[in-house]
Amino acid sequence: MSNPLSAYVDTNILVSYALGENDKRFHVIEPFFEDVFKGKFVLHITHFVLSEALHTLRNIATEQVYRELSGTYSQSELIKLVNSSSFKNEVRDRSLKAFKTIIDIITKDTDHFKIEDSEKLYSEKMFEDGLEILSELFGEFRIFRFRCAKCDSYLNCNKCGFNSEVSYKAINAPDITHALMSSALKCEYLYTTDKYFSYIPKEKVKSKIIVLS
Amino acid sequence: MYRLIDLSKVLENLNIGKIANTLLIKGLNSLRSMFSSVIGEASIDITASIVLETSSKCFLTKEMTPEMSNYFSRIALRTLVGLPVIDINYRDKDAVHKLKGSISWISKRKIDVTEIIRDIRDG
Repeated sequence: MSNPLSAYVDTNILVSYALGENDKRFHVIEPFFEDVFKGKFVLHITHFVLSEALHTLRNIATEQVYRELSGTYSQSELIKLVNSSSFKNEVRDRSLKAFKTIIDIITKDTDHFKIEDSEKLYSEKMFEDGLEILSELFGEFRIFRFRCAKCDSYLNCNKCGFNSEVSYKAINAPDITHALMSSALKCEYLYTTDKYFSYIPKEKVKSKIIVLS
Repeated sequence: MYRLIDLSKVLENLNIGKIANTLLIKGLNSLRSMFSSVIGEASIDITASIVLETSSKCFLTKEMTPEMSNYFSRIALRTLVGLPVIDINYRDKDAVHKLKGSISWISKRKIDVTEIIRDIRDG
């Protein structure tokens, strides 16, 4: 097989694949990883992606531990609970165990995963370019129904009657930073599952952005 | 009223050899206590990797090959999360498949991690 193509993977790709069937987009990215296994791509993993992955795992673990609570809790009871060492340790242990699993696997495979050199420096110009891209773009507004964070039921506000909220969604500083880091690392491709990456003008980023959807 | 320091008096009282010796002993003791505490609290593997990485950064920068550099990045990551050091030649060619669904247990329901990360990035 010819030399593998270099691909920067966004955090969503890495975590989704590790979540497997429990992520909604897993089946979209699975064929990509089969190509990786066949040697078509070598995946560039940055410390920036890993930092975001750890934070994401802590969010997922928090939600899971919260959903596992039985019975009902008032706000003050929940505050007391989340400040307890048992709740904190549970979230920390689960997320760290998951993060260690990912690190263990990717550090053992130099053929398919390349951990970026800790000596790599990024210039301020890169962030200046990022600001320029952000300033030229404007996102979209999306409407979300209010939902219970525990059982997903739709909710209405008893006071004002609203049942939805307006949210601004757009490409943001971390997204732009991923895209420009990918270019700085001379990756030929950037793979993501986030559709907002498609709004980044092609001429501004050297890596070809592929949104798996 | 300020008085200028008499530099000749200062020089007379300075014993350069004695000072250098004291500094060296202090430095060595500091190193000794640092390494003994590391060895006491962490594994030999971790200590060895710290010493190796620190030494290589100080002395081997010019001689560092891309393979060695990549190895140190991997070892630094493993050490960070408390995983044991692996050999530079260790290869797990099936790691890609092992990654698939490796942490599915962390969520008991189907989630959309793209949306979760989108929300995190949006603040």
